[in-house]
Amino acid sequence: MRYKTYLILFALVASLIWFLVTGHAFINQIKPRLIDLVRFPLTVATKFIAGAYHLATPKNRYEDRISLLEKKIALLTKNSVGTQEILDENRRLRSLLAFKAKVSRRNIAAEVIARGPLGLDSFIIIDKGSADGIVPDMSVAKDEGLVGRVLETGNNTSKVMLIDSPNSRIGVVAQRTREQGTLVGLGGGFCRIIYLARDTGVMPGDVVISGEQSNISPRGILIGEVVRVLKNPHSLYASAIVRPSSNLFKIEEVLCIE
Amino acid sequence: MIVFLIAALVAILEVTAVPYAGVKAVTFNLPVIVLVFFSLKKGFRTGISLGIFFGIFTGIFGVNVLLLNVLLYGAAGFTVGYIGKWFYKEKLLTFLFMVFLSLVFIYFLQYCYKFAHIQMELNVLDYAFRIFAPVAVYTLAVSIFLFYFLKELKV
Repeated sequence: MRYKTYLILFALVASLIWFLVTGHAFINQIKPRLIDLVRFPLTVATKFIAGAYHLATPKNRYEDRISLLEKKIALLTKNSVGTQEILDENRRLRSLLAFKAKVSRRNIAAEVIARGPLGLDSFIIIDKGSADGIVPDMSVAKDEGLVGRVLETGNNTSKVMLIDSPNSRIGVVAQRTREQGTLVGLGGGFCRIIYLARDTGVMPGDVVISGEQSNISPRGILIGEVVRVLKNPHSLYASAIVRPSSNLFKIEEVLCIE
Repeated sequence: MIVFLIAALVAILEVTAVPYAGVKAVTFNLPVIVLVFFSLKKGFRTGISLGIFFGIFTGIFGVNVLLLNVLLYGAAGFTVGYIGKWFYKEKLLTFLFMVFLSLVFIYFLQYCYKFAHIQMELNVLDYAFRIFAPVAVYTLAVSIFLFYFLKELKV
């Protein structure tokens, strides 16, 4: 009886593995559909939690003074807290709109409804999909700079891989020296430019932008700043650690650029 | 059934609420905490089922290969459930030890796949101190509170 249980368990696991190995195309098709199914609860949960987070986080150093004033005008305090949330959202959207006006390519604004990281994976799920004109490999950016690229699209949602994900590869240029390289994600909010020349002139503080050699990202979008240059005398290439200009851990609205 | 409802809630919280509780790149791994708790409590069958559920969830939402996540989480759930009978399950230390072991297993194998297979370069020390250690510390700290909370649920 006991061996029968183990045999059944083994058969189930083996079937699952066989399915996962051979059913790649099928799995890649149904993954975005499954995310579409949970879009509504994710949107509701994210809006609720984002609202609670912004209400709870202190905005400036004069919180005691503001709370004293708020106690005196109780009705206005209640309104101002709600209004503050609207004002913050307005400021973020204006900033995104100003960035959108600068970008001449077709672009689509979207809100983030779910986010990672899950282990080493850095990603976000946005509330626009193929029905809204999103296609895989579209660049995704904020007003502060490039954020990632669209990996998969469902009908109403899309998965965006962030630039610090180890699977991410972007052709970049160091703005000052015009040296080209490939930006790969390191996880934990950092990236690395690889394939720099051994005698590279790139220095900490140099700005990194998307390069024209990239098939995916439009050229000239700000990516980040070099924080350290690594030169190994035994290696053919040098590399540089880059801190992205966008805060990858607090993304709420993004722009998808064709 | 209730265990899987809790797992579904945990999955939604992991991608909506947990990132807000993070400090920059450092968040805690809620699915691992819940997986270890119920694997210890209910045994290896629940452990492997929950592990497969969380593996599918992280595979669908994450960027990683689906099979890798299913195998890692399933194996972690099965192992914790199987070896859990050799330990005193009610003790917090046992729970924390199992959470830490599961984190090491899942994160380092994911790292080996990502960086060795994709980037052809391994710098384990950098990964261990920069990414894994903060996540492990944060997860263990949260595990202490969740251990007592989940015990009170009496599921």
